[in-house]
Amino acid sequence: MDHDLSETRGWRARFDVLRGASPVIDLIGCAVLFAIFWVYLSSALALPAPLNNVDIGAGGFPRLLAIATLIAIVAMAASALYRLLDSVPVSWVSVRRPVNVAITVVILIIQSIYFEQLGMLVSVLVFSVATMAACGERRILHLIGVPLALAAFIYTVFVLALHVNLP
Amino acid sequence: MLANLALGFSAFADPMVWGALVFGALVGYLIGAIPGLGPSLGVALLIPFTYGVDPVVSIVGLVALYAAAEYGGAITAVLINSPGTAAAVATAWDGYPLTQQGRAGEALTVSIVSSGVGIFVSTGLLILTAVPLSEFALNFGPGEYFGLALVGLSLVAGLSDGSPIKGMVAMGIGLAMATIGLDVQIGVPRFTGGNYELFEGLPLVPVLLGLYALSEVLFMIEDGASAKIKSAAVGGLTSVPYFALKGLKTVILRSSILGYVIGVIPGAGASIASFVSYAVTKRFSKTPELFGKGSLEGVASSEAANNSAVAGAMAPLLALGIPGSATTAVMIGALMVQGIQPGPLLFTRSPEIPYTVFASLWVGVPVMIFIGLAGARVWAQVANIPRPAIAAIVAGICFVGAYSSETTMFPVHVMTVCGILGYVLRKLGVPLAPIILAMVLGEMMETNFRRALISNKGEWDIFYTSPLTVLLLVIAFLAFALPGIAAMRARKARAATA
Amino acid sequence: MTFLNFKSTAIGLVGAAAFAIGLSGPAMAQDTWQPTGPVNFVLHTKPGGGVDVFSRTLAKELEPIINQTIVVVNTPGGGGASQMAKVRAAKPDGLTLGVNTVTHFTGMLTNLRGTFSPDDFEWIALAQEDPIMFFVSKESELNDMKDLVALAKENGGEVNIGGFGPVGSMQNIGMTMLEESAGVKFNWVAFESTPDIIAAVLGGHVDVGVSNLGPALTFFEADRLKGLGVLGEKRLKTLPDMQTFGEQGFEVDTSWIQVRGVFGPKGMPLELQQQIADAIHKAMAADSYQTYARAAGVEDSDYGPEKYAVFVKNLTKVAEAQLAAAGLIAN
Repeated sequence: MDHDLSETRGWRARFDVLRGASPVIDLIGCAVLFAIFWVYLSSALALPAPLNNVDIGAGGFPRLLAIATLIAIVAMAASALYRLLDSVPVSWVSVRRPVNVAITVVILIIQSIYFEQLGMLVSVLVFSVATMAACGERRILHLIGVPLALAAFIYTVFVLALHVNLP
Repeated sequence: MLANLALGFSAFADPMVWGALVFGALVGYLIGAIPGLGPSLGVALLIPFTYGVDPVVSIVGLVALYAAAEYGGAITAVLINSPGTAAAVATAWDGYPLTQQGRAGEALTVSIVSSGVGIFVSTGLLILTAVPLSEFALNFGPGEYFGLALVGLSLVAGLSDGSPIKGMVAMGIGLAMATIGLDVQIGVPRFTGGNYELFEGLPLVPVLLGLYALSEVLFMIEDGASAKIKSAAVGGLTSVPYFALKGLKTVILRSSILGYVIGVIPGAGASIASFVSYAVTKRFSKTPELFGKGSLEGVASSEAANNSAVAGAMAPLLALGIPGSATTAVMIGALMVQGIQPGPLLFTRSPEIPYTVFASLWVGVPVMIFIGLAGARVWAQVANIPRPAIAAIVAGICFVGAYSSETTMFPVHVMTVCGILGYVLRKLGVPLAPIILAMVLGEMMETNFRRALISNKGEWDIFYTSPLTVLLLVIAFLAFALPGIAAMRARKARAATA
Repeated sequence: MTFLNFKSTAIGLVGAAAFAIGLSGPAMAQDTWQPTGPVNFVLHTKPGGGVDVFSRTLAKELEPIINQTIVVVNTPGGGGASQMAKVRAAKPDGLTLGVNTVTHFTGMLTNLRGTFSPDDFEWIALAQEDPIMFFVSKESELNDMKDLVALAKENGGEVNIGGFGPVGSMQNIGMTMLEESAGVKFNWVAFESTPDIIAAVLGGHVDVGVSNLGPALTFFEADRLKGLGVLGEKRLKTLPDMQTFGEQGFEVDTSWIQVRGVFGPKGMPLELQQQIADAIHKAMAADSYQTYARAAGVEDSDYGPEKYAVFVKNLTKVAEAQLAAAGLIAN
């Protein structure tokens, strides 16, 4: 998971890199997962009881699963703590170009909200330009050519050939 | 039987049948390669085209499409780590590392050849055993299905590299995702938060697209415009030395048989077949350490198995009219449009249908390999497309693919959420494959566990009175325990030498 | 209604030729359905299932009648909710229609209660009636419903009946009706597809299976299954030896049958609904549709908007009473 900075070449490597010690990241992840499975367990407990005594009911399996997973999450946290306190140097988890990644996440979310309203062609054109730009493409010809080619491809395959109903 | 087989092959005297075969194979190849469009959607989309066409011609086209689409899923798995179907997830494990090493052409060639050989071998088995094996598969009751699901899960638990604890957490996430939706036995909504779109559960295809393809887009963004992999030139068959393929002979043969047998069991199907045969191949391999890092054996085992499962799934369909997979279920619809009702009488009433299927699977192999090899040259260049363009293309196709899987926005939202989730989980070092497999097997496991208890007066003896169930449960236990024991031994050995 | 009945009889007699002549006559053009653009058939299932095959076969015969293309849109999800949302939001111009089954009505009473109600839609035409039946494997000791009830009495309810859908589903309600009438209890084992039910019956994993005729038909012909009884007014034409529940002394509401019908958004003029229903019933007379329907083992229905709306009201009432009795909904 530890990506060396020297791996990224070009000027964009000067952008900041988000970096955290792997055990610390693990602990944060464990906390979030624990919360999620805690909610899962409580809603499993709230499920109606089985209709008769031969069934374990709708909640039986989820309950068992939630408890097992919670134990696994605690074990994951314990192993992260152990690594944190260990003398062996910790490894790092890094997100390179965090700004670009964050922008792309926002682009994806916006696309998933407006895909239907905008229609397939418009959203493919607009958002593929945006995604390429976020990835660092600066050549105008590429920024225009690729989305057009992609939209044409999707239109031919999905709409003309397969008769899929796209918005 | 020989006379009937000759009848099957005689269908190929008609140029229309050849046309349907090539058309089906080409369309299937493309549909399989587009993330979001799998074989079952492909067959369904082709049904309207079969109106007014002779039943034999249309069944040949559909079978060719099914087989080729099951292969096509491997292409994106190898090139951009985005398996188009759950059955190609295991292919991505080794295929993508090979691409990163500049060996995309080699990986694609091995995958197409193993797929072809897989279909060839399994069709032979299909012709000989379709009826008896399908009758045997009827012995699979709820207890046996539960055992089978456990075998699948344990095999994969032993597979995931990295921290086994994180593998368990991943499996928990996948199983939890599988429990979302209306309860199968009593129909109450579970974990839906009152949202009716979740009633039928999380759809697998958008989850797969999100976790793998969309999260890969975010990794590409991290790489930026300058990162590039130089893919080695592809020289068709010659790019893989003959001795390399010869070395894979045993792997391919074993995986084909495994894939066929698992495919015959209704409900099991190609994804379980590929996972199981990957795990088995790794167990028997002389170089298990290469698995997950670019092993040609890994690619061969997964691909041979998931294509053999196609022939396997055909067995209960043709022999009994019971579909072995989602795609064959759609095929029943296609046959019904033609006025043919698949069922136990198909072989006696219209033998031309099953025997044409046999023949077209065999005849289709060289056609498919030819298309695949020709395509591999082109596809390998995909790895050379600049990162930003690939990222945009993958994202765009993900959105359109997710939308067309149900023609609503719901799968698009699921995919987007899973994309971000997948990115975070990969950063945390939580493996994705157990999530997908647990989703595939989770429902099968829970439903059959409860069905077993309900149909057995709530008594647990159903899990130890049937020999088949006991056998499966023992295999599941061994598959889970053996790697652990082996790891402990290795640790002891290391400690002793240190 | 007389007009409609007359028309369907005429079609039954003359068959496909009737509408070819009908279309060419300008006088007929006034009261036939003439949509202004492509018509969407919105389905609640994935491609390839029974509803899908029905819709596509019907659409193929309907297209030449209305001179427009018909687009079959598969909108699975939410137990029909995604489809109903799409239909409800559409303009009532006849260009967006939905195909429904009994699941829609049970759904609107249970999980989708408050989200959708039958009053949100116009129920335009009933196309297919598909009674459910109980069957066993050829090796089974049971031969009719009386044997089944006797066995359940003997075992105190330990008879496993495998059927489609959870407790409260269409087939499950059919079973509870029998329970009430016979005064016994059965053990419901839910399955998610009919071929799975047949496989479980053949493999001896459940005692009795429930299904519509279509998927099970070839197993009867191959002598692998035997029928115990059919929940319907009359015996099935295809399997005349199988008695109805009523004939064997178990009185149940015989209107409890699986259906496939067509519905549209609220506010569609009755005249337009009638035209759509006529066109659909006309298309159903075509040879290819008839071949399909006979192979699928379903019965044709000629209910137009008025009859179908009454039918839906009645069906909903029966379902509500049954679901309340089963304790699944508050009455």
